[in-house]
Amino acid sequence: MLTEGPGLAVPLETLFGYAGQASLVGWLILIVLPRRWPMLLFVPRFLIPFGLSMLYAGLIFAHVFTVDGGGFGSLAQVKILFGKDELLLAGWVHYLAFDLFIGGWIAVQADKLGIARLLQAPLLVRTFMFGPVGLALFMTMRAGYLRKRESAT
Amino acid sequence: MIAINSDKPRMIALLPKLENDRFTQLMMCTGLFLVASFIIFIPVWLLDSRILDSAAIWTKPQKFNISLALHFMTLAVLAHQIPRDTRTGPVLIGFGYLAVVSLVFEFVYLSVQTARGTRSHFNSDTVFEQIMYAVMGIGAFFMVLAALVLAIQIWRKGDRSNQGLWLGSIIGLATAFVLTLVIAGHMSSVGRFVGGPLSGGGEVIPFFGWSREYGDLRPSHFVSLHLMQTLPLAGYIADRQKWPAIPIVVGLSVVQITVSVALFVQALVGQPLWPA
Repeated sequence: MLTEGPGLAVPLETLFGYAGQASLVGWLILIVLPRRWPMLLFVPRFLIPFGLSMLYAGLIFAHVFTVDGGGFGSLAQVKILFGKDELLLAGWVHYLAFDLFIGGWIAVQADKLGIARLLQAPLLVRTFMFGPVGLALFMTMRAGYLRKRESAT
Repeated sequence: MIAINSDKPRMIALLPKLENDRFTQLMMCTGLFLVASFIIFIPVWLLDSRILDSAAIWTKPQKFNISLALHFMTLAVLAHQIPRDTRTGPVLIGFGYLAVVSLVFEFVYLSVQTARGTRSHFNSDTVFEQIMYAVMGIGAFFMVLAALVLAIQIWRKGDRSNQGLWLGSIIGLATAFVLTLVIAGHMSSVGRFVGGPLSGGGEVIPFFGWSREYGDLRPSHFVSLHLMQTLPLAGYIADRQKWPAIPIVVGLSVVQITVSVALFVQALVGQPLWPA
């Protein structure tokens, strides 16, 4: 027998705000702060993506199968699914979590390749704003760098 | 797996004494998967306002995560009493995989049904759900069968120098298997309550959620299933403290089996464990 208990006390807009702020803190660390302290780098690479992922897990499991006609089989189904605010927020948090994690990966790889922080900044900003664009950009750049790095080591 | 500055193969950082053979890895990784699942289900446990059968809807998968994590990790630890060749032989690997396949099936179905807001066990709403409920029964059987198989292997080939651990493992694993078949088997046919609706309601014991108003079969299921942890642990402690291990293990097994049977009978006559 399924009944409804007391609802969530925190409004969705507030959760949206927290998630955005957490993500922003992560990006600021990646883009402007030094990389020499592992504990500091741990925050945007693992801690914040983990926290965002946990928020995503809560939202998605609670709502993913509750929308009639929603699903992943067609664009129309996806549209219906994300018509529910909780799932729209889940989708947004998914972006934030994965973009930041990829940003962390790019930062570490770029440091290994010796790409200047000045050049890393636009790469990371692009990943922050348009996730996959930054990733594709970095992959392309990295392809040109790899041979040089191999001959150096 | 994490190998930190060590030439000896190690299983995980938490239990460095475990070997990293195939059986141990399979059981420990399954246990870790369940522990991790418990952690990632915590947000939804707090966020989801749905209540199924008088309990927060994610409470049930969370109980399964904890209890099955303990189950698989127990199998991994206790299997270290038998030689590595036996542990990685076809019998234990075969039954181990059978248990893990069952677990994966149960985990996925239970999680999906929970997210959908419906029952996994005791669900006969559709033909599909009837079939799935039956398959879950088979899966549960394979998961406890691994315990019996391990009991037999420990009995045949186990290290008998730690008598308490050896005997505790055999009795614990074997009796947990038998009593679980009887008690959980009965529960699967009549539902978790005696004298109350399947959807429950009323006063419950905190955390466990067992009814305080009518017969509840789950306390006896709990006590009997955990024979496989308490008896080996008691035997292990007795061995280390040089206490008389065999009387302790036998005595405790008599007590715990009696308690679990008494709880079963109490539930069958419709009495709550701790009346409100």
